[in-house]
Amino acid sequence: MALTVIPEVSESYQQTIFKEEEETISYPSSTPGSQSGTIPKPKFDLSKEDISKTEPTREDIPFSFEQRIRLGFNRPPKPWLPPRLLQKLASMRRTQLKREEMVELIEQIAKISIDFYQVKPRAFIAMKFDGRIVDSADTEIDLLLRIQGKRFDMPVIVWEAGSESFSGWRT
Amino acid sequence: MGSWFRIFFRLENLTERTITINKRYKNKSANVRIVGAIQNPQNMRRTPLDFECRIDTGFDGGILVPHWYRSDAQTIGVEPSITNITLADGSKIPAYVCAAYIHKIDTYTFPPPGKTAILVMCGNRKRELLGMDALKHCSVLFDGPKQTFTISFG
Repeated sequence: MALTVIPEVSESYQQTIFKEEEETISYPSSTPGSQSGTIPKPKFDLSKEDISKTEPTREDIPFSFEQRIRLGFNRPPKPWLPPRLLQKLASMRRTQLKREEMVELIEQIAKISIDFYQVKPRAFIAMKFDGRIVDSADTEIDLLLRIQGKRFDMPVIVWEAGSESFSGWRT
Repeated sequence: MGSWFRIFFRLENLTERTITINKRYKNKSANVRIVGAIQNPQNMRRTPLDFECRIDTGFDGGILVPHWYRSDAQTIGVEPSITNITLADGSKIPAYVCAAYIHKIDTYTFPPPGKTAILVMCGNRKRELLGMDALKHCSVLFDGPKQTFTISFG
């Protein structure tokens, strides 16, 4: 399902619409003997605010991994990360985390991100600490070469989907 | 015609030959000198790498170096990524990783731009390791009784 673009309605066109609405619509009577009657169409005010409300929201759109890449991860749905992780991230900005805390944090963010974006196992992904995926590749060296030298607003985590750690024992 | 064929045949032999490095153990371990570089593909700046590595068949990454190499990478605009790595005892630690080029392993020179390898930066010990990922395109033969090892590049 693609996002539909609703064109802006000019004021002159709105007035034309209202004028047409005020006019009564004539219709032929289907029952014999009865006269052809008229029914007034109910009035309603159409404003720009109402039009914008009718736009499809992100919650209405069914999720797919390809769609998120195309849309550029502009607005992740809420809630994105659980409050416990957000608290930990906030504390990381003030003080350094312990080694064990950092390992746990990275694993939890990776798990949430991989589950959410439905990344296939054995794919290598680079994601930010807010869980958004910035790049992916089939091999770790390809991924590192792709993101090398690029500027990100926060540190990037490199992860292999389906594994518990990047190097060493893959269980 | 015959001489041209002979020249072509000799060139074919040269390109298909296997280069072998034969070395003795040093301090009971197989050490090789690595010459390479970390390169920033965005601005083509590079920082050289030149150190002696210990061949570690238990390490499945590329090259393991101490954490201070991260600042070398940052000077050329490369911000190493964070990941978890598992140690031999099963514990996990966070580490920084980036891609690097290996130009030379001891006397063998790779064709330009070199061989890509994963550079893992963690720990304080100045003991660089050459892992299985960096050696996946060559054959390594350890001769325990003779305390020698051979690396063959085909």
